[in-house]
Amino acid sequence: MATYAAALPALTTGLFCFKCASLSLNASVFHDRDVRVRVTPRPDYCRPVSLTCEPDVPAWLMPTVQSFLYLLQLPRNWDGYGAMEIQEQIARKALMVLVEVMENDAPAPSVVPLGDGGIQVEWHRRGRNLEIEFPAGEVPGFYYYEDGSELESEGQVSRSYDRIQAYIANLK
Amino acid sequence: MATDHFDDPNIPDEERLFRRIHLTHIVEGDGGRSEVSSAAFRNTELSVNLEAVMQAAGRQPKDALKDNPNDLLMSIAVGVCRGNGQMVGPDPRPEEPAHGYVFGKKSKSIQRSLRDAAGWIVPDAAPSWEEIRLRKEQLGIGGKDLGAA
Repeated sequence: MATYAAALPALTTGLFCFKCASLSLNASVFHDRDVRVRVTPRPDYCRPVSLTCEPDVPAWLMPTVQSFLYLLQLPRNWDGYGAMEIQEQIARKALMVLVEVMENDAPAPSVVPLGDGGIQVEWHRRGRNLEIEFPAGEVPGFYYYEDGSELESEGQVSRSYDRIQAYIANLK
Repeated sequence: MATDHFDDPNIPDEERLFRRIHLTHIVEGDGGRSEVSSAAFRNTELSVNLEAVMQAAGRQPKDALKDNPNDLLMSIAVGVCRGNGQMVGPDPRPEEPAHGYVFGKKSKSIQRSLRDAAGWIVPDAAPSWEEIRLRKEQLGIGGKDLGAA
């Protein structure tokens, strides 16, 4: 499980405070967790040394957040079939779940909008397929299947973190 | 939106239904392929165009994209929908006289079945992920390929 989860509420609050936010991460939201400090020597005339904080952000996080921010900008009827605007609280919930179930080196999911204002994240890798659906007004669910196989599995996200973590781990 | 859905026996199983696919619903698949998300076939009332109504008006299938030229187009047979417990019926609208519906609760398994049974109309074969990625980039859809690494 990702170790920076404790910082997520602050992170998501900052990222989703307005829909067209430019994408920037404030290192302060990571508090004192998982922050590496790099000391950059400067010439003597420039003392003191500069300190640069580099939060240990997993590679999948930024593109995923970018995708969420894009979806939050979609207008009503974005699909021409009467789709609803994507709900900000669903994006926040989805991101928090991903942080819980994804390791730092997990592959980034594809992120797609749902017509009811929800979000679905999905992976299709090495014949393995995982979809996690965050619909509006319903509990989040997952669906896993493998190409060329009868194997499929589905259930509620809240009761299946261990299974979802295992599925994602097998996607690498 | 129709309120009195029914399965219209005058629509034969062989008839094709056309469903527009928004570019956000096409994601990266294995080996450079693109994948249509099951989310494109999720709605309980799934809007489609009825082939026979379009034909009767002298319209080609691609005319289903007339108001959404950036979308892609897939077709699915009525019989496949019925085989998945769905009702298929007409729902003509002023802006689209050929509008119809595939109505019914769609489990993940059914969404996948409908998606897998659908065939490409525009383009006429499954586009590569690179083609989709470039098109999204041109249209400013989703930032960097909507999240997939």
